[in-house]
Amino acid sequence: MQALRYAVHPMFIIMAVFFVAPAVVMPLGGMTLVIEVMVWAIFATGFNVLLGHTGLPSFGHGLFFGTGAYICGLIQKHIIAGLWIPVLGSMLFCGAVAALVGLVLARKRGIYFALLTIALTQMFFFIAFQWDSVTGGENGLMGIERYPATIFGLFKIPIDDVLSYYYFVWLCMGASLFVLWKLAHSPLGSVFYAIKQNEVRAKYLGYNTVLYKWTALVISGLFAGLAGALYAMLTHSAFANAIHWTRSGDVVMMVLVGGGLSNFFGPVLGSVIFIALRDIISTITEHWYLIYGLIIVFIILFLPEGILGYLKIGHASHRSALVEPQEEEK
Amino acid sequence: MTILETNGVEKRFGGLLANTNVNIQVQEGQITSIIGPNGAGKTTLFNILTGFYKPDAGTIRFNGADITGWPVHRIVRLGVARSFQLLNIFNEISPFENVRLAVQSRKGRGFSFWKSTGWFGDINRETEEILELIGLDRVKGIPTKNLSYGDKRVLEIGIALASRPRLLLMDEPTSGLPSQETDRIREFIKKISETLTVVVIEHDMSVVLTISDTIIVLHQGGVIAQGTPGEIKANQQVQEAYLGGID
Repeated sequence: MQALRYAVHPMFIIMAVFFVAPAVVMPLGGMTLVIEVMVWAIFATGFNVLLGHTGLPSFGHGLFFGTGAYICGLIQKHIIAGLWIPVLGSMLFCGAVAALVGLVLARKRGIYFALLTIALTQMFFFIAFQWDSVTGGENGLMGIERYPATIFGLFKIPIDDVLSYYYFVWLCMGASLFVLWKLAHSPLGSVFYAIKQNEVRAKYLGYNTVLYKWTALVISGLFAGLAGALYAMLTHSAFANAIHWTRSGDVVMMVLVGGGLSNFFGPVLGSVIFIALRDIISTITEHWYLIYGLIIVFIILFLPEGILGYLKIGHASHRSALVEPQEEEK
Repeated sequence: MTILETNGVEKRFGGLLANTNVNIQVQEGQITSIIGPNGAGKTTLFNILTGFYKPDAGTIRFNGADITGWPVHRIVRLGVARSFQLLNIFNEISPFENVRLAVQSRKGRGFSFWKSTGWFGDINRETEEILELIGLDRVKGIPTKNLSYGDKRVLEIGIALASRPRLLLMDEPTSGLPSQETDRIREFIKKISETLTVVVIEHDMSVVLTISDTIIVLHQGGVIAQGTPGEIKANQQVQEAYLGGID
């Protein structure tokens, strides 16, 4: 029975689906798209610690995603041509940036928080766009490589071809989802959710809510940095437009559409839908955002809790164990 | 022994003087009631005492320490808890989670990020005990928003109690309750006051006069009287400002 419980766990199902997906996708030539889905899933699920779990609406998270991409490339070019150090460096750098901007952001909430995040990301956008000598400016940072994964210096696994890079990103996604899942169900996750519901009361329970909000920001920054680095290696490049605030809007939409406000796995579904729609609609018209926008409006109006929220899968909260299952009242 | 003491506390909102020259002493182990007409500055005073507002002037001492200007969470950790007049609970989670969050905070486990909340047996056991004490164990698992109003009122106090305070500030704990429910809360306040100090803002004079050791009367932001129920009833100034105003 225990084994069965794990087998039907959404985490297991998600990982299994993405594990076998290449069998179908590879012949169709859509591998890059599915890798992109997994990268966005890491980004969006990490971002959801802030939006869905703690209730802080950031419209500037492209800042961390884009910075992660640049830092990965810059470390490769200037420090070490490897895999782990550029990737970990991107995570840590973005975590540090989040820690720094968090000193201001963590004291805000609601609309003030949102506006500040937009202002910050635009600031970074212009820096990245103008700083030609470091970021490549308008031309972007090119030539970012997928160096082999070395494990304790013993094994050297090439990840340059699309299939092996696919499984590398798959492992990163698995590790990220697992860590974030553990976090969501830990005491720390419970405090995040308390702040989302009622920050004043959380303070009156003795929680230093500013510190917790700062922590949520740093965590989401770390995973955005990871996603950015993976994205840079996927496209072999880093561009300033990833930092633009309209990009940051994409990740918010993924969370909302998938149902991230009430379900841990909402952002994963949101990423699938976002990339799929973009790919399908953009073959029909270049104005794909117009149609995507209409779909978003439809979902916000009729499924305010997103798709997983509507389906009531793991309903009540992203922390599944908070409320015991209820018998329906007759 | 005086556990809480204010000296010359003042608070302004723009041109409005919400509290002026408030000097009160709360004795440990007693039930102290704060009464006064609407707008007398009672809730503002609670907000100042707990660090939610910083006073414009004056000092607050708790258990000998000067806590003026401290943030809320530090004052709470020192042993001051508060329940609210307007319900201020976590509606989306269960009463169990509401209480558990308070216990978890006191145990300093808020930053544990790996083991699930179910793993912390000591926290969960104590949560069960508190739920039993406040009589909400029968509804501990349902969403809090589905609780009856009376149960929500009890939970509001239960969360505050779960921080194991030395001093509990209760802002109109019987607000909006029918009379038999008021009795339930009154008995409950008496029971918990055996182990801690209680300051209660209350409008229901039948409650105030029966449970209080000391009554503080606020009027237009300032203290106009402080004494035993008998003294307050006999106080001419209070009669004019407040008691007479009702009848």
